[in-house]
Amino acid sequence: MIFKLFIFASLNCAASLFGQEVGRGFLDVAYKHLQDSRLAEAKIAFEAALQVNPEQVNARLDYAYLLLRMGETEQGRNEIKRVLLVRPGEERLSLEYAYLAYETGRKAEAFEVFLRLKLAKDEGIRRQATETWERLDGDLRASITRWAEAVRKSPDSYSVHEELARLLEEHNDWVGAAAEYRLAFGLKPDKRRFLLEIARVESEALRLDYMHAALLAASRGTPPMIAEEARELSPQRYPFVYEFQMAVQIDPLNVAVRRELGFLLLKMGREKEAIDVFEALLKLAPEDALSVAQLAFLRVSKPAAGVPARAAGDSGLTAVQNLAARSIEKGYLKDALKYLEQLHESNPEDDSTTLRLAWTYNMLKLDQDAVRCFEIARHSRDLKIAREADQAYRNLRPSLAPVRTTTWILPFYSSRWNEVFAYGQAKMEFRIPKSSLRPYLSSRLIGDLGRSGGLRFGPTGPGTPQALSESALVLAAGVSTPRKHGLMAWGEAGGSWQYFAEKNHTATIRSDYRGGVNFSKAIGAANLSSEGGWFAMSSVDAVYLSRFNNNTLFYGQNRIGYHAPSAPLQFYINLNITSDLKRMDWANYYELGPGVRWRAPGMPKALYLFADFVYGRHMLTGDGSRSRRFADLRAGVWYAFTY
Amino acid sequence: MRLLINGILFAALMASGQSFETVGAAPGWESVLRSLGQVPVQDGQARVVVLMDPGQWSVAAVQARLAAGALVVIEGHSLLAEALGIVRGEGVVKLRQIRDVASPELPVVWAQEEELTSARLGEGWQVRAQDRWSDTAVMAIRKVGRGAVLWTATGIGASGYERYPFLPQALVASGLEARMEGKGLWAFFDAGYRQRVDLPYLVAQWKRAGIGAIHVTSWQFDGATAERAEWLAKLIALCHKNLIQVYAWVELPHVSERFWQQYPECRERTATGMEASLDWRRLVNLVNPRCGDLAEASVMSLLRSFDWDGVNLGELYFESLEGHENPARFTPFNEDVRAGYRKLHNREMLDDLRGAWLPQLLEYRANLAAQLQSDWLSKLETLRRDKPDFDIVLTHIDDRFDTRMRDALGADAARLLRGTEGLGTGFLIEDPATVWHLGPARYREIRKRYEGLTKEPERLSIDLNIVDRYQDVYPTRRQTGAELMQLVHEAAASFEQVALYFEYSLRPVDLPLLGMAAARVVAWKELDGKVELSLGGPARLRWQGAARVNGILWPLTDGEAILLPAGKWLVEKAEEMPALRIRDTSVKLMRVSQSGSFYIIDYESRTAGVMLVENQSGVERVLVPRGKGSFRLSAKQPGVEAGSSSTQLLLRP
Repeated sequence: MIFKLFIFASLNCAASLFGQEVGRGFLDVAYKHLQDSRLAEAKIAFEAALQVNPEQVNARLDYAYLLLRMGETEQGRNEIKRVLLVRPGEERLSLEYAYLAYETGRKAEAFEVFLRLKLAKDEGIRRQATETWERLDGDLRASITRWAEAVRKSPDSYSVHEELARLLEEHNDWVGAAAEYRLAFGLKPDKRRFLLEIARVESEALRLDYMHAALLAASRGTPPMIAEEARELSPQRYPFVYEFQMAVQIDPLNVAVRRELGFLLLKMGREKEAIDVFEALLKLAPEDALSVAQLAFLRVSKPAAGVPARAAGDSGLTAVQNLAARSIEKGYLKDALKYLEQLHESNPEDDSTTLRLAWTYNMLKLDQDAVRCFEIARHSRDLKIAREADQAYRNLRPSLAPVRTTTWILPFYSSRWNEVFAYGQAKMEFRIPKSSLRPYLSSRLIGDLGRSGGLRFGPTGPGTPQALSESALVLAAGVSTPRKHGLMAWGEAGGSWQYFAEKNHTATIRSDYRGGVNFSKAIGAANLSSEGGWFAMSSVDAVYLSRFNNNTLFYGQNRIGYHAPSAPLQFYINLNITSDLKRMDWANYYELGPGVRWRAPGMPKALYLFADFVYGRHMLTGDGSRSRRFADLRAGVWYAFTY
Repeated sequence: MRLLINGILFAALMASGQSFETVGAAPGWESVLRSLGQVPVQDGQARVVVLMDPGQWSVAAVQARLAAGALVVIEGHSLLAEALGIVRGEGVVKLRQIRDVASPELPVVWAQEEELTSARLGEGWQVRAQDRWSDTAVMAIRKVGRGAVLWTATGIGASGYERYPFLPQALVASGLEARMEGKGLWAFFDAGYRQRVDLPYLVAQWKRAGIGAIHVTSWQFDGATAERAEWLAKLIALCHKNLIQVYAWVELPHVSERFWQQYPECRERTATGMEASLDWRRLVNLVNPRCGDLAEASVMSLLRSFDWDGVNLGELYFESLEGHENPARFTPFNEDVRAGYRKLHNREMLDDLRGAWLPQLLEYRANLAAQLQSDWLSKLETLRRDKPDFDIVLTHIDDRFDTRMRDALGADAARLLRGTEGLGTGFLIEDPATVWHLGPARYREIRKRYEGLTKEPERLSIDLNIVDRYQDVYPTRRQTGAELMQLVHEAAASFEQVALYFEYSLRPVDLPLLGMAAARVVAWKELDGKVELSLGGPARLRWQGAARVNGILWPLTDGEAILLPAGKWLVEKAEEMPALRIRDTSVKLMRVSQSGSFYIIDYESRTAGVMLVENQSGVERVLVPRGKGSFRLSAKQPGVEAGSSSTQLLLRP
């Protein structure tokens, strides 16, 4: 044994001596090249020598100066820094390093070295460092004052905060710089490089929690360039929960961080917190399929009463269950599907699995299969599962059915016309394989009860409310496009029966062509089934109508309001604008006023009551038979269902 | 059998330089190779063979081609790859970031993650690039016989630089030669970054990269110490010795640091009222008569104190790219400018930063910028009284492609071009930061936007900003490798002159390839030691010894290369060198002809040009005047003569 150790030590020693010899050989070559001004060759030889023996400080310093001669200033600076780590007392070299750091953009570091050298032993260095520091410091302070004033005057400009942050950073005010970078990021969240800036200054400020949180936020989002840079700087370990929580604070719009936090909490058995995280996430990104599914799973995760408990020791199925859960957690949906199908086959009675399977099909866009599974699960004895599945089934089924019927009706009373109007439509849509276009048959009612025999008395005398009523029943066939980015188009041809026509001596039945485009967008708690909060919605239409002398109408209906937190009740402000191509006086007006929508307890979800009070103004003068201004209270009922 | 015969036939032919062929669609490779001056051929003799569909060729055919010296490019896993020593490894790798030996410290990030089966590389393969996290090889080369194979683990992408930016370096490491090199690139030079550099080394690097002129940050030498001034004088002398011209780059309304400190009363103000010290620029109120005079004295003194070949009046307009949206950076709001606006419109500028009067304010600002440009051009013109060959160039941001620039900066390129028509002033178009992320094709578009704006399109040059871009760009923040080469190549194809901002930001690994990218090779055919080629611009062809070009014993040679103007040329070996020859020149060659016992060399030069004429007794520097001219070189006995064309005289100020 001792002999073996001896041999090993001898070989080691020989290798080391050999290495030193080789290193010296490279160095000789390097200095020869240097002497002959063959800088590129000298560089290669120095690198070889330093690779063999990185401890050669003198050679490293010469290598650093060579790099500076070759114009590779940043690398030269870095090599000098390595030398200074070994020889921290070299004041002249430190001074040189400070200038180099300043020239190459590492101003904060330069300031620090100049400041330290104000206490140098060498008087000349002390004086030079002091003079330089004072000059630079004076300039920097003046700049900080200027930009702090600019921030005061333009607090909403991200670039002003950014500029101030950089100056504070140069001045070693790391905490101040971090605050300014965070403000800049708040004002411009799409400039995600700010997260790296925050991480850098927090690191210098020794606030490592914040640094890790900023890097975590950057590494979990887009763009990939930033994510990869953050990954380079992040610690090797997996982040802690509190770091995720801080990352959410720093980057509240980051869906990926929130989702990963939710799954992490789940893994740690902190389900309640996970649900909170997923719920918050869905407010931010309602269409995040993974979170929708996970939240649905969490809500139905307890085994249904009456469902036979899995046999203890059923380790195979438990393992598959774990695999399925883990696959969903990591977003490997195809794997999850495979495992869930296995589970479903082995126990078709397990409605919880069936529901999970349905959601997974749904996320993979296999909606036919999803509908089939939702259909099974909605008959579950577990009410929670049944409710969840039924809702999903009702949402999904109409889009897949070969025939879809939609019926809606909107009767309401208008105080301006002292009339009850009613709009309604029964529409039967047909699904064509491999086409997104939907042909349909439609029966549409646009009219009133005719309480005044076709003529209305408005506040200033008789008039016709064309804007509200065509007094007609329209039967038509048409085609519509699916809605994409809020936009859809439609067109139909048919005939209309005007039930006051005889009285007005016009045709009773006439052909009717109409078509148009519609854009609708809603944000926040616009749906009456939402959980509460602010909302805004807008619907803009351009509609061609043969009925109105081949006119084209444009109307926009906009609402902004608040949804009560614990009841299906919304208060809002209406802003409606209507115009047309032919500049008809009745078709050019705007309306503004408050409104309320409410679903009373016990009413079906498809039904609600509404009341709007609007002040309006016609934008064209017209024939003077009516006032340009009007007020109108409209109250009515909305009811719609699809099957 | 047919494949074997093919193989034998291939072996009989020798791969010739400067050409490539593709088997299967390879738009990315075409872009990469074209940008390196390579020309597509289908004659079975291409130097580079891109095998996108390796099934079409047998292993024997490929090996025969390799034996003939071809450089074969393959992608991914295939039977051919296996035969060449690349077999499937175990496990799947998700690739997002790679590192390349050409610049190992630089993160190369892919916009789209790619999943692939890893590879095991056999003996002889040199790994050029690896996955950052798993070290899986993703690009490698292997010398085989007289040829080489270049392998990439995935497709390289439609533009050729999305994934492997250092493909040009890998191609060169595989043996691709630069037979043709463009000349005469311009580069901006920031002396602040190069204070400790070995000047002869640096200038030699520029020369090797095909740089013909540098534009020096002149303001850094305003009030310089004797030592600094001497440093600059040495730099200029070294450049001149190497036929590199030196321009004084002036960046008004920034005058200099000294000026800013000495005349605080002349400091510009932003719309928030603060002094306009923005980034590195310290802006001065040039509208104020006294400050304008002081600035003129400072700039003119600098221009007269050194041996500049010309001046580059850069970016004389206002701040900033964010326009009026950011008042803290919006200039000029000094008292003189505000008083002028008040007098003209009876309104306060500050009140018009928003609302209906904003267009009026922006118009006033653009007019002011135009007035300043005109005034300063007149001042600079006076320098030509003492120095007739002194060149004047304007650097001006593009506002035709990115039309927001006029309102943001007050910049109006069309107006300035009209105003300088006939003055012989160069016009260097800077592509604005807002379009840096768009690809190389943007230079063609930018060029189109300037069609018809000037009767002298040869005035138009383009400035490429090679800097860290603020946009979300891939695979590298700063243009390098294949992207940089394509930028230079496209720019050189669309503009007479290409400038690079700036020489320090160029990666050292890119410098040797810039000349290849700047060459405009249209056609190339090499057979029996003869080269038949067509050039879109002047270039340098590597050629050992004497050459006969289109039958003329060629006088533009240094024995290692010959200089050629644009045109179609047949180059073949000659027995002896001409008695007199031009080793190198700083001018742009237009035409070379022989008339009796003289060579007539037509040229163009923006500033005084130099011909290095070699005879039996040594090398002589012959100066030729700026403009268009002809240079006569004796074909027989020693002696040179310079003459000027009438066109050249007309161009003189």
